[in-house]
Amino acid sequence: METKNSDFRTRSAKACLDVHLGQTLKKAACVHKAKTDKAFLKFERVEEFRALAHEVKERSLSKLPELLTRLEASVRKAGGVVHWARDASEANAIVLGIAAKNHVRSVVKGKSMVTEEIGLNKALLDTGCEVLETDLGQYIVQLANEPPSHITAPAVHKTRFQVADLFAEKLNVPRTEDIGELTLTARAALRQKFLCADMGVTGANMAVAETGSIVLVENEGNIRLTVTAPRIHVAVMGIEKVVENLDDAAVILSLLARTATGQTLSSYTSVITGPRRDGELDGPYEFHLILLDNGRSAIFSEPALREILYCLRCGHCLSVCPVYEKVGGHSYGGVYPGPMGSVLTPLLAPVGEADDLPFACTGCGACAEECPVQINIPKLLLALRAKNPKGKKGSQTFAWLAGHPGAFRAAASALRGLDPKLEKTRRAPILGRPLRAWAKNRSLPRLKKPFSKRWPNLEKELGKLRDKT
Amino acid sequence: MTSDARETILSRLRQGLKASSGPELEPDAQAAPSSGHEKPRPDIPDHDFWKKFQEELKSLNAQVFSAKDLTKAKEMLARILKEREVKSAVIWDHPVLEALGAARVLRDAGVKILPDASSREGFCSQAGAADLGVTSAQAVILESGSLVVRAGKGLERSTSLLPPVHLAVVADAKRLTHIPNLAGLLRTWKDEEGRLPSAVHVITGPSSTADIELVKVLGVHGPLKLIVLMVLEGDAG
Repeated sequence: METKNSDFRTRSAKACLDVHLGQTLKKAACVHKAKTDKAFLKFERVEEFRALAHEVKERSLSKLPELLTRLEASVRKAGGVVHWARDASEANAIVLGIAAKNHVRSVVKGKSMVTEEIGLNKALLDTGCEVLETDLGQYIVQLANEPPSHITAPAVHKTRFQVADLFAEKLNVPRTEDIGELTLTARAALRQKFLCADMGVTGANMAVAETGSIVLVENEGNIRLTVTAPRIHVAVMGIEKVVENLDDAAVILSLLARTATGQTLSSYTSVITGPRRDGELDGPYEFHLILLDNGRSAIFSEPALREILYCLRCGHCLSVCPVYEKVGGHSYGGVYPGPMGSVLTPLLAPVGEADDLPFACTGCGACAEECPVQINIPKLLLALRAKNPKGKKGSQTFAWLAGHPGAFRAAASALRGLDPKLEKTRRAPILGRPLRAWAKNRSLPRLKKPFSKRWPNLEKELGKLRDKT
Repeated sequence: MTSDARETILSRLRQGLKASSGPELEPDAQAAPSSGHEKPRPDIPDHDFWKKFQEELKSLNAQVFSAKDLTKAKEMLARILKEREVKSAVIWDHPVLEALGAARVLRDAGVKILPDASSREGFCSQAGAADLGVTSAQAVILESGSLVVRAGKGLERSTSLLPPVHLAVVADAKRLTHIPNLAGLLRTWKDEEGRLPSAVHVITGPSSTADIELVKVLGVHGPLKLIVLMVLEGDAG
């Protein structure tokens, strides 16, 4: 991905200059907050269920190998085929193999982050297949030849005007800025494609070891169409998504739509178990489930980081993150942006790549406070920062000073006397470099007067501001 | 390749379990899987249940009709067909619809029932060409205002999905109060081999999206409209 060519700082600095993007993201964050706040106000047992959901994921992962083999057996019993893929290229090869064997020419897709992660679209396109994303947002970014910028709202960075231009240009339809009409345009453009497609590809929100079912959650009906009309259904799923039984799945369903979109349940929650049975007139004749590792077993083996595998991909942490709201999803440069992405992207990427993402966090904790499965994302980000050798010396020095108030005061007062604006220090050969880098996007503190002396006045000003609001 | 991958992944995970001093669970917690996460709650009286359920449905922009008996329900169905100028429909082969005589009502209203056996088109294409899809919800969820429909012989998935209007008859449906009750319901649907139906859909309102500027639009790839015809005999209505 783009991570190779630039870093978060460069990309986010560029994004911050885009006025339209800023307005669009700000509005989206407000709308999302209003919707989800309302849903949680109505759901009085939210804390009980968050704790339950955390327990479900903790228990499922604590017996992951066993659950995966049970899942495999149940899928087989239901007439499905299970494939295992160590990495992206193996997973893509499996899909291409199924496609080739069945003479597949056209593929419709339900939105799936894991197929973005493995780059499946490109692999299929390279063999000459037609591949169409069918989720409205994902269809928009596919037409625009862009990656999604949010894991549940892929085109959240686009305005209706931009979509109007895009549809007029690519679909050869009269330009309209009406969101309802734009939606109907996509319906009309894709309906025939669904009916003619040979293969449907989806992800999976969960798989249930007890029954061999996959659970698919959506609002548009495009995922249902993807698993109803084509003759073959392939689901690609990260190995961490298996839960033990139907009760566990139902606990997660009680939270997933509420945090993702503020709905009690999404329009369609589908529990799919194998292919169509004898005597049924629709649904696929073949069902394939691909279990993908792609770095997950390595994360699994690190106790300090395992919690990121609890993630439901609801997208809520992106939508409540103040950093995401300012910089947008593309700034993160990977498939998974925002708080969960800042943990997952560097862990899934080759070593050293995307390792600046854990620093793209203010530590405000909004994500941890609202995560439906209680993942402590800031803690995971700190664990990743600690693993990063870059900037370690500076942080260690500061940490030591912060832990020794006497030394801190002495160092601060020395600097105050010698170099209050930190101008000389900034130019200094050894100390200066990290300071210059740090100050690039921040204003350095003025050391003229110690903070402890400035605080009484600041406190009064803050009080006045608070009274006003 | 796949068998190698299987062994590699499983052995990595087993190693990971051993290596990690990760959150070990009490034996108790591990041993109590499928007892259900939903505590028993006082039963909601029929009348309150259906009243609240209708409110939830309406808040989801579903159109709700409520009939006191089958005769009234038939009249309502005929009126809906006329008002919506329905010309063609796909309909489930389901006992509730049979008791209602729904197919007869459709034919009497001049509605062509698909699939047309003489056509070469598959079921999905024909369902896509129909003005209306008629199903019967096998269960409902109060908390979310949801209809639960399961696939099977004569119970096609497309019927509730491809036509622009989905009409679901609710009579004799299982009542679930909360989302977690879904687990128990699904278990009662396992066949003699322990398999769930090939597809179970929990339908909560018409299809919708908010992918452009987070503005909600009803009707995307699925039905633009959801109509629920409830037959509530006795004082339940």
